[in-house]
Amino acid sequence: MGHEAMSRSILVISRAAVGPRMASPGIRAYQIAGALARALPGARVTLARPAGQEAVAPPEPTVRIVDYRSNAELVRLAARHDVAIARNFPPHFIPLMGRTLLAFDGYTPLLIEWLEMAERDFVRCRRVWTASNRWYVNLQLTMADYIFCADERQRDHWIGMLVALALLPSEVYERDPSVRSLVGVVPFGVPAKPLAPNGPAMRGVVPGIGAQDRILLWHGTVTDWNDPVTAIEAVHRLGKRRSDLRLVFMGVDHPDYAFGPNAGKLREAIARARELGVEGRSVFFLPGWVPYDAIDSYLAEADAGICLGYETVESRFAFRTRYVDAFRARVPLVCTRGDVLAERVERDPLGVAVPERDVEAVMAAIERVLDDADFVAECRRNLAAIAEELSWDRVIAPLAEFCARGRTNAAPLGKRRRDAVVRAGVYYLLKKLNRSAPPR
Amino acid sequence: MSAPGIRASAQAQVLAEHVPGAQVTLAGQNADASGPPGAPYRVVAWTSKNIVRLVADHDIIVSSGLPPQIAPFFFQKRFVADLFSQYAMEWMEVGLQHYRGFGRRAWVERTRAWLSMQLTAADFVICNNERQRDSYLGTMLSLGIVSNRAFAADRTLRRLIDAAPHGIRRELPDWSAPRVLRGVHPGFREEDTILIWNGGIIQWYDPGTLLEALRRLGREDIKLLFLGASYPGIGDLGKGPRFQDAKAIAAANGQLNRTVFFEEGWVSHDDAARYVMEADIGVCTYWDNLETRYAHRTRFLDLIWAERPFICTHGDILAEEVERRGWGIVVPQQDPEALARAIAKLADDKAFWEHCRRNLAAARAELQWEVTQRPLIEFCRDGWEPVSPKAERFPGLVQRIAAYLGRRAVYVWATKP
Repeated sequence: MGHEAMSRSILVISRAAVGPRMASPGIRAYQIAGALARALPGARVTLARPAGQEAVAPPEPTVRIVDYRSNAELVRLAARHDVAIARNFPPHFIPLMGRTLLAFDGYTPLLIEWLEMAERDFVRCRRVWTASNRWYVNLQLTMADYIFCADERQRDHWIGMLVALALLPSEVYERDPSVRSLVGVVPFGVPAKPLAPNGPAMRGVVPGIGAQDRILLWHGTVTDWNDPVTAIEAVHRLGKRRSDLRLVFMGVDHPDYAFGPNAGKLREAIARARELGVEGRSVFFLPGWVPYDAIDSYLAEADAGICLGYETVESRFAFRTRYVDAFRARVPLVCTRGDVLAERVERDPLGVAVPERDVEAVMAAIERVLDDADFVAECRRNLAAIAEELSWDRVIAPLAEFCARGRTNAAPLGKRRRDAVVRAGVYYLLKKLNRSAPPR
Repeated sequence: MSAPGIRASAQAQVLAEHVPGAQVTLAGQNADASGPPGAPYRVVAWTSKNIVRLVADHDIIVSSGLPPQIAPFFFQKRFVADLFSQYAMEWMEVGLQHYRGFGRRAWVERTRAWLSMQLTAADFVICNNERQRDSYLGTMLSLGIVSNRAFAADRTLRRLIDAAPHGIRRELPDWSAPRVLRGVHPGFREEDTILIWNGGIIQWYDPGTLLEALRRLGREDIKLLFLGASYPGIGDLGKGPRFQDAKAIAAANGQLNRTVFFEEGWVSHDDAARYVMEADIGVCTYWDNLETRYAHRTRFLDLIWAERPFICTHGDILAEEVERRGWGIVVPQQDPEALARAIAKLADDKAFWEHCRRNLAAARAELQWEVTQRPLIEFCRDGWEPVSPKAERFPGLVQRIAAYLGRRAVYVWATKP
């Protein structure tokens, strides 16, 4: 690596909260900034976050944290860096194309998640909203000098989109027939630091959870594509023959307000738990949001992790970032089949993967991860192995290489710039149209 | 018949057998089209003249390339696009081989326009494996084919696009059939271990590494046969530069017609089976690139059918199965040492060879065409409403047919000799 590569300036942009309380997009930006600083010791790494949040220690002492108040301010900041990394770039970044390298973090299949969310109340005209999203994502790919995502399936999906948008011309393929220099894989990593619990969090603290109870931890939010009700039903039915089960939904107030207690799925779950009379007895919804540095205390008390969803196209392309915490804590998992990590859960094994909406299977899986000591020991060994495989310092390599290389292998700039202007224009029009649509 | 013809015939067969009351027509490109005796389907040759008539006469049209002429029937008929390769990558490789400069760009743009047209016209898409499906789903998302209604109708989108992999021959290998190599072909002795490369040596294959591995092994009792240099219809595809390179390397190494043999004529589908059965080990080497990532190497299916353990390069989806299910050995690209070790292992370790053979035999049931083509059978049998509404797709289809015709014209003009 030459001197130039080592002294590069890199801006990691978080569009989501980065602070004492953060959800996966913020955590990812925070960890990427830290891992890049370690991988490229001479580089200047800046982490930009939306203003108005509490102070947080930088992921590495050399990483500078900067607050931004507007997109215009963000663009000015990015212009002073060689590389800018973000989950999405507003159209304001178009003038930067060809000056600052733009690395697009496609670790969630945005369009599919937004198709799920299109049912929600804030969407006025579903079809227009979906169309505007499509043009927005197409714009991201057009602006991107590098694309990285969490796994190979997501990579196939982004490559398919590049094909549709004429962003995979023969020049790109000829320079690198693996196309890894344009679309790479950076999974959601596992922090290297061992679990550091800081006193009791649930047992003896939350009324109703005793020292001898077995805790199933739903660690993370309840999204539109989760299925908490099947978990509640299973715990309710198991509760008829054992009294030690405690299903805990850890933190129900999402820091980015995307999914709160009033959002559909969680509301449904709370209602069902009340109906069954299990709320506060075997099912617990902890209010608030657990601070990032306090999660360890919860993980340390968990006997198993649980997260259920559906076997849909959303799960096919999802990388369930919350599982990564379970890997670090060596907590075996009960999860629904269909996503890429559930395949590992089943194959390695790291726990038990169950078919969707199958209460009986969930009941059997819960008993297995709680009571089968040999199986749990095997899972723990495998969890340690995958935690090592997914350590941030390992998974960051392709992105660090791109930053060090400092040049793009994307389609020719001129055409991309023209297409970006057109795509941004259509996006604005559709967005405006959606705003002016009558509320549903 | 090469792979596409084999696939279409097998689809016609299983549709005729499993869709009650269906009248199935297999329309081929060759003028002398005829099916096997007693086939439960009709065979016709299609031309640009009768294609419209043929479409008009049927309810469901399945094709690996829906022509623009279907547009007038878009609302009356059901269309299935059988995209059994990731064409964006496969044809990229073809383009790199045949064209330069503007012609190459025009070719790639033509491919893209063609794919957009297929994905928009199709009421149901099938492909060969999950990776192809994931990438095509990405393309469909960008094109707006996965609308809110489509998504609401089927959250898995399996009724919009699904994987229907290539199957294997239905009949069991007839081990009593007369031999074609040992004792017949002068180069092959009774005690030899025979490696077979059963398929063409196309642009994206790497026979050089294989020849180098054999040279390093330096064993007279290990023979390699390249089978299938010619492709019906596209005769020169198999005798391109890679084939010539392979022959030149074999000649320079002194291997040609001593330990390495080239069968240059086209071997019929039935005869190919006998060559494969007589071989001990299958082998195919290529590059670990994006073409490989999405490829479904149909030649491996004959090896599975004949229970021949095989060696292949990493990166392919079937190579993953080879590794996971113990069908043979997977080697890194361009690694003659690893390849030599793999060949020696399969040639000398009879217990390992037998173990692989048993694992291959275990896959026979799941690779029957009526199993692999279940999504297609169900679409034709159950007649569900297209997941992506036709009315939503129509404006896009008109635009994409026009784009395709334009891109094709540019390509034809740009590559005129």
